[in-house]
Amino acid sequence: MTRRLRDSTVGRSIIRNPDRMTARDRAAGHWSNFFLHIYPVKIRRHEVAFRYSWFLGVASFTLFVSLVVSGIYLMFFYVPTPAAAYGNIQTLQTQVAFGQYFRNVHRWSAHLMVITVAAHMGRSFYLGAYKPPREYNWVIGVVLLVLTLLLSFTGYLLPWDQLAYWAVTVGTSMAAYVPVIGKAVSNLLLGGPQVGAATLLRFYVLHVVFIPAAVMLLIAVHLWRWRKDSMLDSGTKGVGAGDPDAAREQPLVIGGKRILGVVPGKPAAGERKVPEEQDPVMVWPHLLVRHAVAALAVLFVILLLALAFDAPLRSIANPILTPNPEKAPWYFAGLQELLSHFHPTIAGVLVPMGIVVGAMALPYIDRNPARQPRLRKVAVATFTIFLVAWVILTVIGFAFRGPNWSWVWPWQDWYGEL
Amino acid sequence: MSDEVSRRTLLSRLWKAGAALMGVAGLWTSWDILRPPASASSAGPVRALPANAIRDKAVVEVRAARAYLTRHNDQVVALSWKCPHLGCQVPWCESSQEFECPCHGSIFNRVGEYREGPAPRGMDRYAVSVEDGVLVIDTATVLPGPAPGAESIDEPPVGPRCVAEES
Repeated sequence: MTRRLRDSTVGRSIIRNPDRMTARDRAAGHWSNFFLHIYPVKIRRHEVAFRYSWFLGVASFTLFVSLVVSGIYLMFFYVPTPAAAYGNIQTLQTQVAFGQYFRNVHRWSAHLMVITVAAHMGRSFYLGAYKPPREYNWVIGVVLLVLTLLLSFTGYLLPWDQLAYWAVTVGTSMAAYVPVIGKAVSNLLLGGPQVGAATLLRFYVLHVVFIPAAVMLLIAVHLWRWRKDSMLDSGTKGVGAGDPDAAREQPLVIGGKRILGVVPGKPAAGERKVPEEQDPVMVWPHLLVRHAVAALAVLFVILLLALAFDAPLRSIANPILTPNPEKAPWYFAGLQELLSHFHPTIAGVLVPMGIVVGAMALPYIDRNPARQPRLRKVAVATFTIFLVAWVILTVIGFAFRGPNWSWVWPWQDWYGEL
Repeated sequence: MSDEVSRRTLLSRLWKAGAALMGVAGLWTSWDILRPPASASSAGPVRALPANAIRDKAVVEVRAARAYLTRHNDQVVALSWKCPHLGCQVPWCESSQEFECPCHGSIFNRVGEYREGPAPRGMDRYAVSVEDGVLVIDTATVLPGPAPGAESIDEPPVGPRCVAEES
């Protein structure tokens, strides 16, 4: 039946290469399909394995899609005003079919996405995947991590409960410590002297339009670069093949015309193959099936989490009463812990900026061409120390701090908020 | 390289300059549209209490002004309850007779001077005046809190802090 539909005139006009029998069919499928086009036709066998990437990029992308879908659903029931927002969430949870469930999916997807994106970055570091020619893609990845945090943070305010109100008060006060532009940025975010109606609307616009659009654009660039860079060893030379040396060459000028790139040797169509010694496999089906399974597994985890745990909703935001303890979202708990020890300019501005700028500069500073961790002892040690310190700070801030930010054993009293 | 600019280079520079100009104009306009208007601030004079209502070492909360009134060297001062650290509301702790911020543990004495914690300075103050025997807090005039240093009053914590260091 599907076979006959696909072979009909209409079917042929939609899917141009329905057959997936020979390698040539599969390659043609990539070339003629908008969505598959992002994949290369062949990939090295070891890159297909789970241990190569742990599929953390796929997991992050799946979570982003889950967030967009559940987020659109939530938008139908939400008005971003202080008078309506909190009531809307209550109505959503109590009177809308699957309202609480979709809110849970959105919440846990957001938290998980912070984890998978950070883990993806960590994995790329330990594999040395930020090294040439992937320096720039690493930088885009760092920006995507920052945007993921911002997405999560802007969404945190929208329920307009006590958790939301005071976490955002602290977060935007941190921005005010940035030299020169801090006050302007803080004012621009808040739309007034403190968190209020203008802030809620601004965060809403950032959360549902501005940052998601930026993330989608950067994901597109990120995937495009991944595909281009993965072709590097394919034996093809030239600008289009992602060969950085070709890009740096002086343009060739023939008869007053600038030639953008030259592919030496045989015609490119014949050369664009992964040489046999790299043990290539077809992306369809080997990689695609694994990606599909990884995406399904992530969805399964999210759907289970959303069944088991409800997203929290504290009492309605009260601008004249700070809850005690007041906790930032968990991924900022490390920052909050630092803030309780150091001057805000150091803990709230210099340290986070240093981490982001340092991470972006990493591929340009680390000139060691080796990729195996045992040949990069300094880089691996430095990164690991940072990572461990950050995890410890986050765990302390998240689970070991109670009222007045005093030390509390988590097995005695629990003050962590998600 | 000669000083002569080819037609192509000139045109290329022109459109880039034009695009940059549009970009700057767009940013400027966005900033003008999105920056909070003066009316977004509710700051202004708040009539609080009769001038003689603040006795001795009392600390009185004035919600309308988001501030506390207390006496400092025979003068009534208004302390903003917004923590100078990161903006949490700082409650007055009766048992220790201190201001204790719940967010990051900054502690201030009765007149808002820095005692401990991560805050960079003492609690900010609002201008206070007396009109017809009534204290008026001008929340539009903010005086940054005093820098950490010697305290001008000798009032150590009298009792346990509102939440003990160890639980």
